[in-house]
Amino acid sequence: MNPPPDQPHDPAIATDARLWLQAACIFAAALVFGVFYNGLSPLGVRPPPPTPAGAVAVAGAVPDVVVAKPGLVHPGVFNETVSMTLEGAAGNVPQPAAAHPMPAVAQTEVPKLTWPQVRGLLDSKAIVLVDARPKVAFDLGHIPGAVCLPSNAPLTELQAFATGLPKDSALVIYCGANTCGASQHLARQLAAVGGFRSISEMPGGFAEYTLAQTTPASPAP
Amino acid sequence: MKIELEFDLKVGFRWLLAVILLWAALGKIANLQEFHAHLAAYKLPLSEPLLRLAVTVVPWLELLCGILLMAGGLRRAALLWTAILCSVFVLATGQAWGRGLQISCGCLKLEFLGDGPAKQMLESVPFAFGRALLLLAAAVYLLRASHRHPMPQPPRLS
Repeated sequence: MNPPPDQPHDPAIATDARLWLQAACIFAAALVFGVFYNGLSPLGVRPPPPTPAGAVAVAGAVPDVVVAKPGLVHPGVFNETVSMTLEGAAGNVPQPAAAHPMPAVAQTEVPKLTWPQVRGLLDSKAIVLVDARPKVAFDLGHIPGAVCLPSNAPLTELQAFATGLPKDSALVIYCGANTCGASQHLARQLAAVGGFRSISEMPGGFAEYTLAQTTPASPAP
Repeated sequence: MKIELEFDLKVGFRWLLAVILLWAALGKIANLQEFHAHLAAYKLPLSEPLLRLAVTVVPWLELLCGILLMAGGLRRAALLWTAILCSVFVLATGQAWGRGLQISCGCLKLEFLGDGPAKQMLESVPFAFGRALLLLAAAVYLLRASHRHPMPQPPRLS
């Protein structure tokens, strides 16, 4: 674009104007990408739900229809535990049953569960579901029935959590998604604290749960 | 010889900034909720909607700047945004350090380091402050250098 003939051409001003225009374009592109991605991502940041934020939600609030995304399902792990029926909970934390066939904690490898399996266990109150994400993320949204215990919690808090549960509790820990290591980190820490019958991990995390809520149910074959 | 050294330094800084920006962006984009939690821990005087906007936009700004710095397109604008982002990081980590907040900076994905002291050190706020300051210096240096020696423009037809 040529300057008008009656005005002196200043290349510095023209360069600066072009620089700010380009910077504005970059911001606009980031805004568009960000808003679209945030809306589509299961780990997107959305306004907190209107329900009062408590440390523990009611396990019975788990929806009835849950269809996990096929890519996130790992069949064959702990299938025998899903059909257990156990006694109810007491107090603030869902209490596990006295006996169930989940294996003991291995120090090297944490057993992995999928959301459909966890949901079955949660419905039957066989497990204590632990959310290893920070409290802010928990308040933004969590799996109903989960207990907030951030993975960076101090040892005293972990010990207090452990002493508040029956000695034979079975824990299932989750964090954001496969990309986060908080659930494994917390599993190892709780294993070191001791006193649990089993500690498992739901690697799909909150993303797997969210996808299960948003994916429409497919017809049975 | 001097010209070659200066050129190499600039290219090195540009690639360093690009790699760090891409690394930071991909870690944040993979888990926006985690980034939101990290950002909230800084206790910045931002309202919740503004915090969510920052969580939505900042990772993509980092990603676009990293790509543009690598590819060479809109380089000055990318450097300008990099300098702005680094300034914000310096302010955020500086105020957290000054207030004595015991938080993880949440800047880069360092899960591959395990839970050892190396990760704790790299995620500490003072280290993040120093890193952001150095990256800001590199971005400002490149921005000023590109102002003194602008990129050659292709010849205009007719």
